[in-house]
Parts: sequence; C-alpha cells; structure tokens
Amino acid sequence: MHRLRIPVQVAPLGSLLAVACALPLAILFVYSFWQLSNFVIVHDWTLANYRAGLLDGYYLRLFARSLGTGAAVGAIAVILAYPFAYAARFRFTRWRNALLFAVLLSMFASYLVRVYAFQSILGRTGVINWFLQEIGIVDQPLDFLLFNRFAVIVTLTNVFLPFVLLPIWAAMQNVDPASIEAARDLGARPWTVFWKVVVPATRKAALAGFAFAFVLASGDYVTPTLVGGTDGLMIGKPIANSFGLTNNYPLGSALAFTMLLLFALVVFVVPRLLRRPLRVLGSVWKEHRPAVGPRWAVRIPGARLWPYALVPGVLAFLFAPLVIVVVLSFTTRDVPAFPMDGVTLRWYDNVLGDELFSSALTNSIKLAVFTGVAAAVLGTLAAIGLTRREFALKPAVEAFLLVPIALPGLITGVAMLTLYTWAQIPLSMLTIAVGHLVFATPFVVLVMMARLRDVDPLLAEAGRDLGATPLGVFRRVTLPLIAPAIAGGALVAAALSLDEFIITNFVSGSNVTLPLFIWSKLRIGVTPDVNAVSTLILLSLAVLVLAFFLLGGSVGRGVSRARSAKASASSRAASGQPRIDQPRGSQP
Amino acid sequence: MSEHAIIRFEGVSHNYDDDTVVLKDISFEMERGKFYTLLGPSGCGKTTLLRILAGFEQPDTGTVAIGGEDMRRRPPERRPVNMVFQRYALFPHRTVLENVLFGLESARVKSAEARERAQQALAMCRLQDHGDRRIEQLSGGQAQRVAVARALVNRPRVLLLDEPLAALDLKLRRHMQEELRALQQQLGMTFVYVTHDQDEALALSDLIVLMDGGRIVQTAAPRELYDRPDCVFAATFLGESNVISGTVRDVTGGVARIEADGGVLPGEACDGVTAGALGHLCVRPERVRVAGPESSGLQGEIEDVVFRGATVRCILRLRSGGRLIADQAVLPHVALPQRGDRVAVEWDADAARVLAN
Repeated sequence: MHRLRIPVQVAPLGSLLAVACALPLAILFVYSFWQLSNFVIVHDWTLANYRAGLLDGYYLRLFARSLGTGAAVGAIAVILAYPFAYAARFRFTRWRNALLFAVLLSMFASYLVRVYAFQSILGRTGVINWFLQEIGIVDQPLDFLLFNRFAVIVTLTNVFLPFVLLPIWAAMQNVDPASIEAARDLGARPWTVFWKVVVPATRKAALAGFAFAFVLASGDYVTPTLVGGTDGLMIGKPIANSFGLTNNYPLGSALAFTMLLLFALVVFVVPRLLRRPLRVLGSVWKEHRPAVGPRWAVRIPGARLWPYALVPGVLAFLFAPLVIVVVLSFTTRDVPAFPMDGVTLRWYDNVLGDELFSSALTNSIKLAVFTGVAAAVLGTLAAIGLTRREFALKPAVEAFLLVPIALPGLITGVAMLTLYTWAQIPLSMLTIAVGHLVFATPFVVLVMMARLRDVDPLLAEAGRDLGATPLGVFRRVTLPLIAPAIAGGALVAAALSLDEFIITNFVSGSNVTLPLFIWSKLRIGVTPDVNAVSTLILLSLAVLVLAFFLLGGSVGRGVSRARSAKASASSRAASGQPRIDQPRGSQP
Repeated sequence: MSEHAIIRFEGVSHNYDDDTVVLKDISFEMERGKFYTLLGPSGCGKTTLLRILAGFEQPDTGTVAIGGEDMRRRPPERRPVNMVFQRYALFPHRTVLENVLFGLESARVKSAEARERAQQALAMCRLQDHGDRRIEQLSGGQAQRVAVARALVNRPRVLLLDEPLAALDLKLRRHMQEELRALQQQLGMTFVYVTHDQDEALALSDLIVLMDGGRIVQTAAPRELYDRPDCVFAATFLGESNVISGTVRDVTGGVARIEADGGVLPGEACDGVTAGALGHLCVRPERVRVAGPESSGLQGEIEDVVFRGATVRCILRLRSGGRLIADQAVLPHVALPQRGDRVAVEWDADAARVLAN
C-alpha cells in the first residue's frame, strides 16, 4: 500500500549516511578480520585481532577502565543534572530561560578548549594549586590532581553534563506542578514526591542522558591524552593510535568493534538483566521497611535552600574552565598559568599574524557555512519525511538517521578514514566536510522534528481546502512556520562544525581547522597562543548559540502562546460543554 | 438526480486501515441552498462524511457528486467546497486579511479584486476593522468569524462546517448560531454543518441528517424529527422520550396498540409495526399528564420530584415496575405533586408513537 512507502524526503540524508557512515563501518568491520604483516595489510581472514583485544590483559584493563570511567561520568552527571533541572523547573522559574541559555551555551562551548582548560585548573601551575598555596594550605603544588583517572572523570563530566542536563530538563518541563501538589495533598513527603512523581516522569530522559554520556565518555581519547597520564589511559587512545601512529588498522578495527559491542551490552542488555533482580529487591525492601516512623523526616535547618548552593555550583563548574581559558589569554607571562603578572593583547597579535592560523580560520569558516546550509536542507527534508505520516520501518529509518549522534566520534572518524584508505580517496576539505555533515545533520533532524510536531496538521488541510496544491501548502504554510527553526538548525550545525575535532582529526589530511590548530599547538608546548585561539572560538560559538537561542526562543514563545490558547479553549470545553470529538484516522 | 440537488452520495462506504467500518452504504441527496446538519454521537461517521465531501478522505466504494460533477480522484484544492475547521486552523504567520486572501491567491484572483472581495467577506463577518490583526490577538469568537470569512470569500458552492462552535462558551455559541443562520439565509448558500449538539442542530438547520453507527437514520426538518422520530434511537437521541416496550396487539387505521405495563396503550403506528411483534411506544415527558389515581391511565407512584423552574419533573414508578418521566408546567396556586403520591398518567392519542423494533 502507498501509505507504507518510505517518504522520499529522507532519501538525501539516508543516502549520505549510507555512503558516509554505514559503508565505512562495514568496511571497518571487514578490516577487523584482516591482518597486518610487515606493515602491509594482508587480506587473510583471521580472528587474531579480536583475540588480541580480548585476551591481552593490557587491552582488557583499558576496556574495563573505559567502561568504568564512562559509567562514573554518566552517574555523576545524572546526579548533578536532576536537582539542577528540578530547581530550574520549580524554584527558579523566573530564571528558567537564562538557565536554559547557560546550559545550551556550555553544551556548545568548545569540547577541546574545555578539556585543555582542565590542565590550567588541575595542573602544577593550575588555579587550584595556586589558590591552595596562596592561602597557605600547602607549600608544594599537589601533583595528584592532574594526569590520572580523577582528572579524566572530572573533565569528561564537565564536557558531557550539558548533554545529560538537556533531556532531563525537557522531561522536567512536562512534570505538572498540579501533580506534585496533589501528591503533597495526599500526604506524601517531599522526598516521596520526588521518587513517586518526579522520577517516574523523567526516568526515560535520565536513562537516555546516562547512556549518551556513558558511550561518548567511554569512547573518548582526547581527554585521556590531555589530562589522563598513564593512570587515566583509556581504550580510545590505542584505537586512535592504530589509525595513526602504529598504522595497524585491523587491530584498531577489532578494538573499535569490541568497544561498540560492550557499549551495546551495557546500554541494552544490562538494564534488561537487572530489571528483575531490582524489582525483587524493591519488593523485599517494601515488605521489610518499618511500617511507620519518621525515618526520613530528619529536618536539617535551611535544607530548603539547597538550590541556592547547587545551581550556582553547577554553573560555576560548567563555566569555570571557559572563564579561566579566556582570562589566561591576556597574561603577560609565557605560560598560561596563575598568578598573572599583567594584561596584554600580545597573544592575539601573535595568533592573527600566524599564517597557519589564517588558513585554519578560512577553512573553519568555509566548513561551518557549508555544514550549516547543507545540514539545514538535508535535516529539514528528513524531519519532514519522518513527521509527516506513518510508514512501515519508521522506527528503523528514524534510528538510522539519528544514530550518528550516539556514535562516538572516534568510531565515525576511523571508519571514514578506513573507507578513504581502502578506496584510495585522498583526504581533503571535502572529506572533512562530509565528516562534519554526518556528525551535524542528525542534530538538525532532532531540532526540526520537534518544531514540525508543533505545526498543527489541520493547517495543511486548510491550505489544501483553500486551493493550494501539496507543494503550495509547503511553500505558503509549512515553510514560513518552520523557517526560524531551519535557521536555528543551520546555526547549530555551523557551531558543531566549527568545534568538531575528533572526526576531523582523522579525515583532514594536511588541512587545518581551528580545533586542529589548537591541537597541534598543544602537542608542541603550550603558550597563551592557545588561549587566544580558544577565546576566539568560544566567542564565535557564543554568538551562534545566542542567535539560535533567540530564534528558538521566539519559536518557543509562539508555541507556548498557542498552547495556552488551546488549553484555555479545552478548559472552556470541559466546563459543562460537550467534548470535541476527533475524527478518527485523520491524524497524519 | 433531482435538479435541486447539489450533493449526491451513492453507495458510499468507508473503512479505516484497521478495518473499522465508518460509513455503510450511504446514499442520499442534499438540496441547493439549504442548511443541513449532520447530527449524531461520537464515532457515528458524520465527520468522516464531511471529510469525504472536502476530499480529505476517499470513500472505499460509491460515488460523491457535487454540483453534478463526480468528485472521484479530485483533490481538496480542486473542489467547489470550502471548510470551516473545528479548531479554525487559521494560519498563525498571516494576519486576518492575509488569511482571508489565501484562497484567492490560490485561485490567482487579481490583487485589487482579491482585496475588495476579502474586505467584503470580512465586513460580512463584522471583521472589517480587524484585517491587520495577528491571529493570536483574536478572541475565540473573532477567530471563528475569520475562519468563516476565509472560507466564504472563495464563493464555494457548499460551505462545510466541522463543529465550528465547539470551543466557544455557551453564550457566545448561541450568538454565533444566530449569525451563522443569518449569513446562510442572506447568501442562500448550501451549508453542511457537523455537530453532536442537538440544541445546535434544532436551532440552525433546515434539515437534520441524523446518523448512527455509520448509517443515516433519518433525515427530516427539526420539528418533524422531534415530533415524528422514525426509530427509538431518533426518539431518544434528540430530546428525551419515555420508551415502553411490549407486544403489538393490533394495528388499525394508523393506530397501533401495544400491551405493556399492565395496560393496552395506543399510539400512532410507524412503518414496519405489525401485530404480534415487539413494538416500542415513545412519548415525550412534556406530553405526559399526571392525574389523580381515579383516572383511567397507567397507575403508579411518584418516586421523586425535581423542580426545574418553568417545569417540574416527576419520576414515577409504575405499578408494573417500569419507570416513567413526566414534565409538568408549574402554574401559580397549584400545588406540586409530592413524593409518594399515588397517581395515574395519561397522554393524548397523537402524543405517542409506536415504533418497530
């Protein structure tokens, strides 16, 4: 039947992802069964690479450490995100928009810059040691702050907290304050309300956020490289090295797929295995806990004021690295360290005079513009295809189009590199552009799907009824309504492109982008140059995010206005008037 | 096809994907210039019938003709009808005037003429000063009128209205009913109006098309439908009826008598009533008279009395165990019946109808 056909609008993005994401992964998979012999890849089928990955104690330890680190990062992020989102929803309602902007800003504020910032926070000459010495707690700088697992976990939590916060935030917005009041009215204490009303409504979002942070943190290789030392080394590093330093693609591929398999186990299988025992445990606890008694009713004076500590604390944690990087870009000393002796613009002069920098800047701008435009077009089309009507395989198609979001950049990057090596395609600006597009477009799809769901399908019918063809309806009704969101999506894609490092690092060849420029500087010895470039990147990202927020904000306001109108209409209808009976099957 | 018919359905059936039948073999005609109301409970198929007219649904079988033209495979944008949508579906990115201009732009009407026609339509709906307003600045009643103006400006042969007043409060609704009715008479246009509100149907329509379970149950003028329902569903859905079921003893000269509640009750015989079969006697509460126990009618006891202002409702328990409702006018200086009173009930011969099972 025609209703079941996959809509053509998803075809452009679908084919892009098939060629530039699925195909590379398939080739990577094939490589994992080949072998390296005398620095040449031999097409002999073997399981030796997997054996090496799984039997070698060295890799096993790294796998375990990566998963452990990822789980810790996910858990800490969820624990911080919950009260933050709760406070923003129910206590700081006036500041909600400002807080949302702050979260968005930190989400897009350069990944590489933030990782680098923690060197300046936790290092021997970092902020913390400087502060401790100034107030005289310690005489010698503490060495155990940086280059270990602790530093890796702190840094990764900082990087991925916004990604956990956002879904929990969105779910929290849907918690009806009336349901909380009802629970209180029915005798539940605040803590019980939280467990029985707030958590059930937000659990899915929290799990999604956890899974997201877990996967991306476990698969990270930049953070361990910059702040991990030997103790903080994770599996991403040897995988990345296999596709660069040691040139052992087969081993790297096998390690990469082993990692993906472990992710799938943790994200999909473990929760299923745990569900039963947890339920049993829960019912045992219910039966044996004391029937009455004020066990949890311990009153701490001023406990209600917790949001005033937590919210600024989380914000400080999110923004401190950025502030420190920016501040140190003005130092007169030759190293980005505290204390600063004076203030100068010398490093900006330095950077702006650097030819490599101007080539990186030009490249980054080209890529950002291309990615913004192309991702907006492909993403909008795909979102239209996905929201317009039901069709067979819809969940599968949707998953296929969105999966690059949840795929660690390391995997996408090495897979693309493997494809290009195998097909002997030279690395160029084009290969970078394809990488950015694959990475950024799914985010645009998400933004556009959210917007399109808010467009009343009746409007399209009204357009047809008033004589417009389907194409005319799109041009005259749908497009004007979603235009601000498309612009917002383009800005998001441009921001993601501007900041993209992980994939770019594998597919750039001899081309330089701004993050690659920073990376190269970090490897030869850190000067405040890096801070100056970072500040410039942060500034342009902030402008993009602000523009996105203002566009999205106006869209959001329009929607909320429409919603409140609808709500008042329905409450009118509820008060003594018959309900509107929906035509069945008229939903798109 | 009669020459006055503007809409003709012939054997129209419609199923949804999950095989639920929504319309079963609908055949009927609508006359030009009349105000039709499709009335029925939720899920009776009335909205689907309207959407088939508009072209948003395709019937599985049967044909639909508008103005003598077969509408098969004719998309919504090429049909001579326009619709007033349930939630109005006004375009939020266009002003009031731009909303009204939409259909004229589609038809490529020259802009000077289009503006004039749009202004006329706005004036007709008493919106002449609101052309520059944004949609979100409108009140519910204004939005409703914009939706009507936006449809009318295209001069459709038929105006379709899908529960257009459902979102308005009661007082505004009454007012808009009058306006719509006046507009229809002024334009002489055919209106097809969907509602589940019987008061609205009675107040507005030239003809009510009563639907139930995907079929047309009865088509009649409001008064006719109220006074002479053809079946028990019609008698009970539109207004209230006491329904007394029993065996039909005989049918003579258009009067049927049924045996029920320990008596023999006469009523006007409807089509299909035959002696010996089960029949249902329907009588409106306001036609039932409560008399003293010495009267010859059915004997019973007053179980409850509900004062309703102009009338008083007596709920009676008949001696046979059945219940009956009687609405009595409240007259000055006349004592109301009391709970527990022994009474008899009676009604005029033309007040009751005997319907076939």
